[in-house]
Amino acid sequence: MFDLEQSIADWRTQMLASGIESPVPLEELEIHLREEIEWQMKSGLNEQRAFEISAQRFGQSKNIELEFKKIERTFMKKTLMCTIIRFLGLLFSVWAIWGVFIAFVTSAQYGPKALLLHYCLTVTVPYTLLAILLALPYSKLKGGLWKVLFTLLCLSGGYVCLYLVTHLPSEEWLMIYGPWLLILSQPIAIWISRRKMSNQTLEQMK
Amino acid sequence: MYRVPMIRKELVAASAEPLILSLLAKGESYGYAIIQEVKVRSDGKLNWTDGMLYPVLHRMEHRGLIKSRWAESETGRKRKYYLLKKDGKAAMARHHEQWSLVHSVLSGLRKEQYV
Repeated sequence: MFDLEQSIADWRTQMLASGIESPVPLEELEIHLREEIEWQMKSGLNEQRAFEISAQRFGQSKNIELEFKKIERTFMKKTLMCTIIRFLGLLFSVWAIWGVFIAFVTSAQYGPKALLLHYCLTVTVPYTLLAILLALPYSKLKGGLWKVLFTLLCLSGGYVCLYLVTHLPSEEWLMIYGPWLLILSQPIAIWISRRKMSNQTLEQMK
Repeated sequence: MYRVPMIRKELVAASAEPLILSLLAKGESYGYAIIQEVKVRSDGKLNWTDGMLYPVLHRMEHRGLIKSRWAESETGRKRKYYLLKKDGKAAMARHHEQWSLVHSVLSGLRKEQYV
C-alpha cells in the first residue's frame, strides 16, 4: 500500500543525503512538492503516480544542492570581503584619530609642521594603497567609475593636507582643519569602497 | 501547422532571472505560482525543472534583487513569498533593455532574409 507521507519523508531524506542541510530551502522545496502532488491529484492521478511525477519534475537532488552550494560560496566570499574592509576601515580611522591626538599633544616639543608631515605620510600612503586595491578591480563596471573617482578624490584629502603643510605658512590654520580633513575624508573613502561590494556590483561581476 | 519546439535549456536558464523579476514586478509571489505562471504564459514551452527554481530565487535574494517573507496562504499552508526590491527593478530594466536589443537585431536580420 502506497503511503504518501512516508514517500515524502523518504524524498526529504534523499534531499538531506545529497547535502541540502539548511532547513529553509528544504522546507520550501517540500511545500512546493506537496503543492505539485495536490495539483496532479486534482487532475485525476492517484497518490502514487502524483508523487512519482512531482518528484521527477523536481529534478536531481545533487544538481539542486550544487546550485545552493554555489550561492553559499558567493555569499561567504562577499561577507568575508565586507568584514575585512570594515575592519580595515575601522583600524585606519582609529589610527588616524590617534595620530591627530599625538600630533596635538607633542606639537609644542617637535613643531606642528614636522609632525603633520609625518602624520600625513603614514596615514595617507596605506589609505591610498587600500583604495587602489579595492577600487581598481571594479572600475570597468557600469556606474562604477564615478565611485572609484570619488573614492580616490576622498583619499587625496591626505595629499591635500600634505601639500598644505609643506606650502602654506599658516600652521595654526593647518592644525585646526588639516587633521579633520583627513579624519573625515578617508573613512568616507573606505565606506565608499565598501559600498562597491554591494549586491549590484557583485551582480555585474558575474 | 508549425509548432514551436521546446526551448533549449541554455535559453531557459538565461531567461529565468528576467522572467522572475518581471513576474514579481506584478506583485509578490511564491515558487510554485511562479513556475505555473511561466508554464501557462509560454504554453508549456518554457519548462523549468521545479527544484532548480529555488537556487535561482535564493541567489537573487542574496544579490539583493528580491526579498522574501513567510506567510500563510488562504488555505492555511505556509508559503515563502518573494517580493521585488529596488535593485531588482533596476536589474529588470537592464534585462528588458538587453533582451529587446537582441530581439530587434534578430527581427531585423529575419526581415532582411525575406526582402
